[in-house]
Amino acid sequence: MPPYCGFFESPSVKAVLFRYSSTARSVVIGLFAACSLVGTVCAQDASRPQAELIARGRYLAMAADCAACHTAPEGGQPYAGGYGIQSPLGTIFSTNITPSKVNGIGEYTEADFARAVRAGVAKDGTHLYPAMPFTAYAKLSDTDISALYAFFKNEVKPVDQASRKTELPFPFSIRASMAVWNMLFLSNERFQPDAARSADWNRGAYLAEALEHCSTCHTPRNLFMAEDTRSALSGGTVGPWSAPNITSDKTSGIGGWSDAELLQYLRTGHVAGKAQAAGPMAEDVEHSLQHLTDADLRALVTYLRGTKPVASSDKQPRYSFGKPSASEASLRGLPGQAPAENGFHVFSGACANCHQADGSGNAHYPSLFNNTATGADNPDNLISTILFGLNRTVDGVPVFMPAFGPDASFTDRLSDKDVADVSNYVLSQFGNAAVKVGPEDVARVREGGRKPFLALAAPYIAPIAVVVAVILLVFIGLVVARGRRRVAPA
Amino acid sequence: MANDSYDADLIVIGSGVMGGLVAASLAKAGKKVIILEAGPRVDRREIVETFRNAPVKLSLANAKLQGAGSPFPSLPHAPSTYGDYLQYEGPVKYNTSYLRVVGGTTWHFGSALWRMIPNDFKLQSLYGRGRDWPIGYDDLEAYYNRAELELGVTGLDGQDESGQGGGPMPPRSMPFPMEQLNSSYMFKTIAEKLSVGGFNPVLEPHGRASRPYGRRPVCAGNNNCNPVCPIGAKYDGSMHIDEAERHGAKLLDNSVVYKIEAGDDGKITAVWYKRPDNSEHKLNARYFVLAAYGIESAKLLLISTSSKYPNGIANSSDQVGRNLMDHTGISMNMLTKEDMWPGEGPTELLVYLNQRDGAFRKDYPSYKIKVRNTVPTAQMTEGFIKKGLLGSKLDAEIRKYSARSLNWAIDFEPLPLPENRVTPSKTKFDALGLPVPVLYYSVTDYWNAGRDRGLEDLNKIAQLLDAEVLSTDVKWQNRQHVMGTTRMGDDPKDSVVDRDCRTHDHSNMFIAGTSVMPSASCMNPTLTGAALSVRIADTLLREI
Repeated sequence: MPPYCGFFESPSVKAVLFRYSSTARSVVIGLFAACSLVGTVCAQDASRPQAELIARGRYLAMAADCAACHTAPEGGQPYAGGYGIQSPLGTIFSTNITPSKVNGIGEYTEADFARAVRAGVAKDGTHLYPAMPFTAYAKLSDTDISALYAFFKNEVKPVDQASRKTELPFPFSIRASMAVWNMLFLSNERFQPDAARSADWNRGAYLAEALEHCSTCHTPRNLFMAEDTRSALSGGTVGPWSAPNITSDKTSGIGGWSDAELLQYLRTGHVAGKAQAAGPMAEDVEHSLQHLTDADLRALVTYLRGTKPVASSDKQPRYSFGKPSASEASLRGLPGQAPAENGFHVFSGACANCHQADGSGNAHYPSLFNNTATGADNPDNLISTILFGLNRTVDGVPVFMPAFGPDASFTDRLSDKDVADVSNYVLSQFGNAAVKVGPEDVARVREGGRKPFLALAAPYIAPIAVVVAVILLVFIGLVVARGRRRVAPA
Repeated sequence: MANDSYDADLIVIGSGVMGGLVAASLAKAGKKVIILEAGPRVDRREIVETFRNAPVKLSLANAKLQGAGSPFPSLPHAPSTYGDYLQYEGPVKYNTSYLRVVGGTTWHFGSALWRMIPNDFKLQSLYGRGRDWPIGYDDLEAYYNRAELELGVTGLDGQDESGQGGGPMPPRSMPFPMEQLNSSYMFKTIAEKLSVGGFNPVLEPHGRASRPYGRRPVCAGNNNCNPVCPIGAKYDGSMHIDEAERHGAKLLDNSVVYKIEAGDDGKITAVWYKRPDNSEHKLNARYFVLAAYGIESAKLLLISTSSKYPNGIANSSDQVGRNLMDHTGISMNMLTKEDMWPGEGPTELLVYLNQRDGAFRKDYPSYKIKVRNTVPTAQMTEGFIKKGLLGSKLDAEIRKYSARSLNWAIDFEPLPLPENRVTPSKTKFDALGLPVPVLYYSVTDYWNAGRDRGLEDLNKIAQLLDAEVLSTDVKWQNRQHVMGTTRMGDDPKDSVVDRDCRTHDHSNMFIAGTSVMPSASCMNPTLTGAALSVRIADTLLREI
């Protein structure tokens, strides 16, 4: 469930678009202008051999991980959309970006395409929600946009299949609000190489910032769900999952990882004794990162090494907690009725088969100590992994942990209390024992994770707007009445 | 659709793989389905823990023989078959064990999922033995495909499962849903050594996932297929019950059906069940599927007597409960001179089927030879300690025997005999006052001929492996493969269900399970029962 990626259109809000403020309208016009410039650049590039351009576009589409969101899971047609992306504001369905003339982008000119990808505005003028990472894609170069366009137009098979409409609750259903959001938070600047840095670093920066859009998940968001660039890559939330701090900070980030470990993690999603990719990161490794060239992966490592360190609340590196546990011998066979023992019993019956009784795992299953999921300063990824499992296919080999949450068969399903108990057992035996989990934490993760301000405020936005409007009307009424009174004697 | 006068469109009695397949299929189509199960729901992790905490860990048959019990619950209203619930009569003890829990006996099956081959359906016309089926392999092929997809079968495409080392057999119109697991060192070594003697290795198709399959993880070789797969990689019937419930089916556990009622027109009108507190409840439905295991299904029909049906329900032929079959077998322990390391990977995989089919079937039964891949260490060690071995001598013996002792077994095709049967006890009753099953069983000279021929093969295998024979057991080992007690046929006078598994006597009741098999082949019958169950579901979807 990568929460952010996707084109969205909704005819129902078209009417609203006409009520744009003049400022917003000028922004749109400005974008149009920018896009027409792009068109000119592309025309010049058309002299390049087309096959090479398409091949480049194919690689870029993979590096930008378009398929992860635009292909429905379990047998969806490539790029035909329909993936329900869980955003804190509701489920956002990715759109069909095949060159279908009816349901896809078949009628898009390159300028239309560029505007959608980089400015978040579909051909018909509807605004995309930022589940589509257009704030990152805005940095894409014109030549790369051309290559992507060539790939999507010429190589992707058109699929005439409408994807499901996104219906967010009011007030987020008003897509025009995105015009204001874009005005505030969307930079229309292309990637600018830093001449003071190496070519390798610059390539890594372009990959990370424009294509792989790392910041979409790993950078915290402000009250309006825009990325807080002051603490870039210092950790964010992705639905129920927590995207950790990946700055170069030695304690909170990846500063303590070796280059080889970082490279292996990006390539395979797993480094024994450090971490494994689950949730959206597993999808990214599966669909995108594992397919990058070694040079590009090395460039990413160089870039990650050079980011500004940002300290979070961690006291020691997430991967440095824990050791094998010997509690098996003392707890085996006890009745399991005491509250403290339930965690062990769930662990022993449901976890120890694979992760081993002492938690050290084996060649196929990760150890539970020296593992960022159990050493983090918040338990969200531990809880999410238990509830939703893990699924990552690298080099054709699936890595799979079954879910113990709502998707599990009734024979394996765990209650909130069971998940909390087993989490506490795992944290105390193998991980960050200072972190405690209650059933309410499990319930929160089950329901999609931490709610951002906007989602919490949503129910109040409409009533507040009504109250404000009423006050305004009363005020205007009073002013008018006064004016009339004043006029009357004349 | 459900009419107000009915509690459900369909009532399924029994929540195992057979009933689960039918219930899930009908529930997915929006039909109102109620499933009645005598036993309780169980959690995988609790069964795993009970097993882990048990001092004795043995295979099913040994666990029962040695009184070690089962990690599955035994309740007064649904007593475990590991205890003294089942009563035995006749010259051969039909020492079986099945599970009375939601999900049924597949919880503890080894998960062999074989198709029968075309000749298995024509035993009488080809070899003058047993009985023909009213349908043939071709009638079932498409349903085998669907059953394999439903259960998630792992297998090797292109094998000659008739054991002759030839081309693909039986014919398949679909590849296996999952690729076969890798063979362990022991399987590879044995296959190599025996091929010299003309034994064609065949890898068993089974229900352990070799890639993530739905919610099932990949088999990790815990070597624990029975009594319970600790990680849920192996199929069991609870998975279809879960699917049925997700689509609106209602499961009533701890609900023991004790009477089926039919009206004057022959249609089944209601079922009665008891709760653990002995309270009695009645439900009606448009259609009924009886899928309570070959022993309980037969018993239930036989105790559902009334003035109009004095012999019980579906029993105008007097065949209910008769023709009880099992792949009654033999086994041999041997000690090789080099390390083989049994216990790596799943509990069974390599089999020999040279004697699966041929003209010999008129003289002796078809049979399957298998090498068990279970870990012998604990049992062996117990024996050494009893002999007084201690210290380094004990260590050396454990090391040697755990690496080199092999257990071979043979499953024979039985003949349907009317005298082999399930009857309700007249003297022993469970806590609800219901009679317990009595099992009468015997074998004929046909089986004895197979035993002698099979022993020749086992001795030849010992020779080829350069192994010393430690022990041989020819005492009619039970394989827990119940068949025949509600057999299928075109003639209502000598069979219980018709070719669609519909009871001849009651047009709105079907029987799902291996009990409908008129002949048994020598192969594990679950997949055949599952294919027939998928077929029943199709029939029901046309009629409901």
